[in-house]
Amino acid sequence: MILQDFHQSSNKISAAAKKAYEAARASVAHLRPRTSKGFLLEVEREIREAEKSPDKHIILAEAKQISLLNWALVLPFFNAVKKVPADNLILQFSNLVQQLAVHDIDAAVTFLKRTPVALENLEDQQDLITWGKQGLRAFETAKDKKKMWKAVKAYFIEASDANCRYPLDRWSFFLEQAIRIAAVSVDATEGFIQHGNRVCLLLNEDETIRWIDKGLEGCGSEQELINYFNGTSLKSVEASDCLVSGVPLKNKRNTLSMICEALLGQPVKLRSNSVLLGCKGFNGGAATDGHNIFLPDMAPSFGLFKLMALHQTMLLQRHPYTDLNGKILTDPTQIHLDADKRLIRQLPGLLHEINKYSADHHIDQHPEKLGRTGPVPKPWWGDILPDLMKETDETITAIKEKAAEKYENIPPELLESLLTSMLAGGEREQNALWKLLGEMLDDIDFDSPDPEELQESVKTFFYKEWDRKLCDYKLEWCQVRQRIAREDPNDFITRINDRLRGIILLIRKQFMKLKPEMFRKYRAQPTGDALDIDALVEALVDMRSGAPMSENVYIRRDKRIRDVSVFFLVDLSGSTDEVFNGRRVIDVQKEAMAIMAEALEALGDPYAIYGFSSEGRFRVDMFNVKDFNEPYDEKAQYRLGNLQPLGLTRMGTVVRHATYKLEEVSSTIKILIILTDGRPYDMEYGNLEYAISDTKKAIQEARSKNIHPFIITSDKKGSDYLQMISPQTECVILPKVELLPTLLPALYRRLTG
Amino acid sequence: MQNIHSKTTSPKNLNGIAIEDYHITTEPFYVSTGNEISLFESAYRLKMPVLLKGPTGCGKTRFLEHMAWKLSRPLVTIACHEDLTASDLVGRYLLRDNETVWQDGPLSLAVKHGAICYLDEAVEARKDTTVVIHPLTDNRRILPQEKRGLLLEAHPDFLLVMSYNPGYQSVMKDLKHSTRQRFLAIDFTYPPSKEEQAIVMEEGQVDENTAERLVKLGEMVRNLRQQGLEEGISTRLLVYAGRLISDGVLPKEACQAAVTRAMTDDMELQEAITEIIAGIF
Ligand SMILES: Nc1ncnc2c1ncn2[C@@H]1O[C@H](COP(=O)(O)OP(=O)(O)OP(=O)(O)O)[C@@H](O)[C@H]1O
Ligand SMILES: [Mg+2]
Repeated sequence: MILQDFHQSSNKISAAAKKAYEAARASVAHLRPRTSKGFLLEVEREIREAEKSPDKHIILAEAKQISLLNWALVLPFFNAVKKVPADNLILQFSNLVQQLAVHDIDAAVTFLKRTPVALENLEDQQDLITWGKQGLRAFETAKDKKKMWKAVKAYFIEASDANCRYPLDRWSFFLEQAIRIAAVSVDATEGFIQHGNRVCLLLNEDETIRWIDKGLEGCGSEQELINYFNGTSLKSVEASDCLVSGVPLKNKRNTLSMICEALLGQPVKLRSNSVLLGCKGFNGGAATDGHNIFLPDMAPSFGLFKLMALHQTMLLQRHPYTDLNGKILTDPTQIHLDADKRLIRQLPGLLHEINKYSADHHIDQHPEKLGRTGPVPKPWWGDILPDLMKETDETITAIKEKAAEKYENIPPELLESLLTSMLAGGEREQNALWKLLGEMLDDIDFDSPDPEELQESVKTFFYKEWDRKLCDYKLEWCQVRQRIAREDPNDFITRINDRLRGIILLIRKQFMKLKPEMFRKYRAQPTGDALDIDALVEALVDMRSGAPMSENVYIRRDKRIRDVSVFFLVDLSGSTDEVFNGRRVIDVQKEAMAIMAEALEALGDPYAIYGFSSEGRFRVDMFNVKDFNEPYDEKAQYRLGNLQPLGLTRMGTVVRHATYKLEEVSSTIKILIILTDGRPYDMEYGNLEYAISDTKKAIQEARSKNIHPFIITSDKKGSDYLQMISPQTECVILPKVELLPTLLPALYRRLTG
Repeated sequence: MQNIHSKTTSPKNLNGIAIEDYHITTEPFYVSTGNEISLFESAYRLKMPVLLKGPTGCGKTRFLEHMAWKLSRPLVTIACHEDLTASDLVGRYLLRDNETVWQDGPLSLAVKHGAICYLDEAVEARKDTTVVIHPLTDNRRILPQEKRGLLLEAHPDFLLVMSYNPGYQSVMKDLKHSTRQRFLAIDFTYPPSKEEQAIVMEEGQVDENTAERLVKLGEMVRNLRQQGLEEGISTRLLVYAGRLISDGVLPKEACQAAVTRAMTDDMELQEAITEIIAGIF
């Protein structure tokens, strides 16, 4: 029928058209009539259209050639060739198709189907040919040509995409690498072309080659290879991170977050982006969930890190993203460009750096050579993860609503900051987050009674804790319960006074001497507040008798006030129960405190004494023996006598609470003395390193607040970790515990004398 | 010991200065940032002592100079410090030519002549010193000169003004409530960006663009207050940076000197601020 029709009107069409049609018909001879009928109808329409083209001869001739290869190429060819401009290109173009078809029909069809898109996105028409040739070369170079088809197909799609990240010459390099991967896995090669190459965004060519080597060597199974080369396995991102020569995130995180905070006006959390593995759209670049910023563990330079962090800062809390006119943008390239624009408006000085990095990465340098229209993505742009942002927003809202019901008395800001902390820590699943929150906020059963049961007056305080793995604080992490030590009468102090009367008297006397007069009057001074009548009379007498009159007739009063406050922390961990030379550590510590209290009473320096013990981060107990404003009376002495070994040692939190208490005191010199018997250790307080780095941070915080911390330990193995916590001068390791009572006052005198 | 408005002088020859010398004759440049001017004028009419609260370098002193000029009152400024005694404020006997001569302290001078007396950073003075102002700040309005056995009655135009910086937390507790609650408080903060820009332009003698950048820098560094900066960067420092720039120093170097190093010794913080400066200029 069709054939009939065609021939009836055939007088109106050229011989070339007829030939083309015949060829097409022959190509489908093996198909079922119904299929071929539809096909030929289409072909006919295309031929008629082609007849109108000035290039009709060449188009029809080439169509005929292509029909001889495979019928599946015919219609895509007609479709594509309409867009291909000058006749000289058509011939080249058609040749390419035919050569590709020899290797793989699928790849050739993809090439044809993507041609219109490629022509739109490539800068120069000639690039169309380069684009195709690169694909062809991949086939030609590969040993096992069959294994390349998926990769080349993917290449035609990716490289012609409007959001493609690379210029064509970069693709040529990737294809060369793909050949190496293809030798082991076809699917891995495809994944590499589709996504995995983006993991190498910050790598130069040599580094990329090494990254591929690592993958080829290190992956056993097919699945492993696929995950490595499509950039979704941890191994693959880590491998890329350690190849980037440059700056590690952890060294620069503080500085970077301060820069972001300055720009945004509120704290910004920076995290390693490895927690985003597996998120849709994540390809190893910088990214944000809308609340936290995730950066690669390594970047080639600090400057690039800075651009990444600042760029992501512009994307924070902007979901959906709107430009300055309030228009919603969804296209990633548009969003990135707009974010850069905003950034430069705020920090025009960055323009220089942006240009520099663009040049370093061979972007924008010779835009005419790159073969792309539109902007080429910059190395600091990273990935936009709209799904993650949406989910995060939803999760936060949902949990906040739920929490508002359950934990009414917890302020929403605190809740939000807890939540962002947990999200930054990598947990994203709503139920898991809810559970974590519950663990933080719910009461859990513990061995030690709840303070409410004790009917004591308990004050609670929340403190942050340093996590050395995160390189960041976990906010509101630990709860201090400030309790009052038991006040049951006991004869602890009386016994000590009886036994150590001599020593106490001696130490009191020594300390008395340290006590300054509140004001010292200086007589016969050249200046002062008041006249020194005695000196004046003398001076007048001198003058009358002819001698020159002295000017030294004033009284000056100078303030010489001793302005020292000291806070004592006494370790009540279970281990203080241990006996050395017949005496328990706890008893020696208490005795030392009793003597010290006497000495300080004599001297008059304000002081506070607290015992501490913990059982997990919500039960860091601090037992008040004596506060700064309380007298050292019978009650305080009973409390001291009642101190007993209890639980564990969460040193960082304890130091933070002491710091807080010392901050309330207005003395010029503030001292914090910690008596302990061992290393910091608590439930879920990590390993020794974790505990030590948190303690060290807490000590640094104290120091930055003008507090002089001082650790006295009776743990002989303590020297190693003490050195890590605090420089040698600020700690003492007791050769014998029994020395503590004599040593403590001596030390104090030396410290403040 | 005292730092008396733009005059450097020791207490001994204070008698040589007449109250006229404390008059401000040319209008001090001041950009208003709220209702502080009208509030102060009311306080002046009602003779209520005023407490100017605010961080350092945000324009408290300048404001008072402006008000003194506006109300045509002399302004006696006393910078308070730990060793300031009551005699330094009230006066003392001096010895001259065989005789003891009484010399009024700056406070007495202000009380007698109806000046505005400004106790700058009043918290720095010891408590036993600050109590001498108590009888001046209630309706008695008298100043006892105990050593002379005299009671000075305040001139009807006399007004007492103190400044204090709530930034230093521990010191804050040292301002006794019995002192504090005698004053009406006016809050000062860093001026809003438009105003601050005008100030930096005028005082720092820089063009609008440079002023805008400096103010932007100020805002961004103030965002870092949580990060261990005790206080935000003051308008004063921004003005300094402006002056350096107008004197030909490169903007980045000027900001390094006036901002980065002036604000902190912390290496990371310095690095961050340096990057912010590089971003702005
Ligand atoms: N509102 C303002 N109008 C004009 N200049 C201002 C203003 N605010 C600040 N300045 C500028 O800032 C400088 C510092 O201000 P000023 O000396 O008044 O600060 P202050 O609040 O008294 O600080 P401090 O508490 O350290 O004494 C002034 O010299 C002036 O250049
Ligand atoms: Mg001032």
